[in-house]
Amino acid sequence: MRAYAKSMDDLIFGQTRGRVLALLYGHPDRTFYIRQVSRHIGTSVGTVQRELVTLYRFGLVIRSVSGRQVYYQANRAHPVFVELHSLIAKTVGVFHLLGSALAPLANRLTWAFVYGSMARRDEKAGSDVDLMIVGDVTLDEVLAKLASVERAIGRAINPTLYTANEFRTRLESGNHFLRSVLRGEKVLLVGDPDELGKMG
Amino acid sequence: MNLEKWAEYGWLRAEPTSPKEIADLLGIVSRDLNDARVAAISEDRRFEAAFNAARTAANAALRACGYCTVTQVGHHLKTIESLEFTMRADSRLIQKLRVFSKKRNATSYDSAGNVSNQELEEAIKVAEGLRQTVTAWLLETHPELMKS
Repeated sequence: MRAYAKSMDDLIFGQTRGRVLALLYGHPDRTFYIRQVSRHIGTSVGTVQRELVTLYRFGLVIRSVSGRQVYYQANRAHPVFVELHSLIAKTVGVFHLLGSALAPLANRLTWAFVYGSMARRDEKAGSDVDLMIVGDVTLDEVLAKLASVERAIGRAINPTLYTANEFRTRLESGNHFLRSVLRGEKVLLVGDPDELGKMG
Repeated sequence: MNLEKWAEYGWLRAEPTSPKEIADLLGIVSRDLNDARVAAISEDRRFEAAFNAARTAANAALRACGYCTVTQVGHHLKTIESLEFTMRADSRLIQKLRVFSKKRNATSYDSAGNVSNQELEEAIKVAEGLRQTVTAWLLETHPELMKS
């Protein structure tokens, strides 16, 4: 069987560029200023600025000025917008899609995070998305939110649901599965990262 | 898409069933549902039993239509997805059973303790609901197979 690249977005875009594109192309109808992008993807302002200037020079993002603030936005008019948008959604964009899909449930969630190969960024073409949901929601509610994300990213999503109480109790009783999930890479979509860190 | 097309693709094989086979399958469904309610064993095993009950109920419907899955990678999933054509099942039910199928594989082969209380309860509820729906459907559409 053919071996696929370990991290498709790193291969194609480079890590920072991939994250910038994922944010902008994950929300093509929103504008972002540089510090906002920097905070969102956890990269320095200078690095983000260089990437945005490059993307602007190639027409992949547009910019607008309001007062003293410069805003950037995905360029829907670019000939490759549709393809690039889809490509990003299938790699790093998935996290933004999942976060948006779960947002209406967020006030009843303690945490939601992706773990497994997608979080480790070593997903293969057929990898599923492993999603941990901790909170007071039902499987039906979660599946209803995830259906459109599954279609958009072309990957199956496997949610695991715990109430906050059960999550804590199982961890305290040494549940191997939850302990190994918490030790591994995670991409937090909803919740407090520090509180989650204390659970491990 | 329909069952005939799936047979053309090599996912199914046409094979007539009998009242005895359907009764045997429904017997497996009942046994597994009873096992799934045994609180003394792990949630993982109970979940496996509940999923197996649901999958066997789906298989009973498929066999009643005169088909069986061809043993190959993913044939359990095909049994579940065949509910769309055998009983015109709701896509949300099939989506939920797909999620259960992945979880059943993960709990059997990858890691113990990954089934939550809610997931176990939901799997039992879905399997029980499917058992009742399949039984009613068999009585209505294939009464000759329910006379064992």
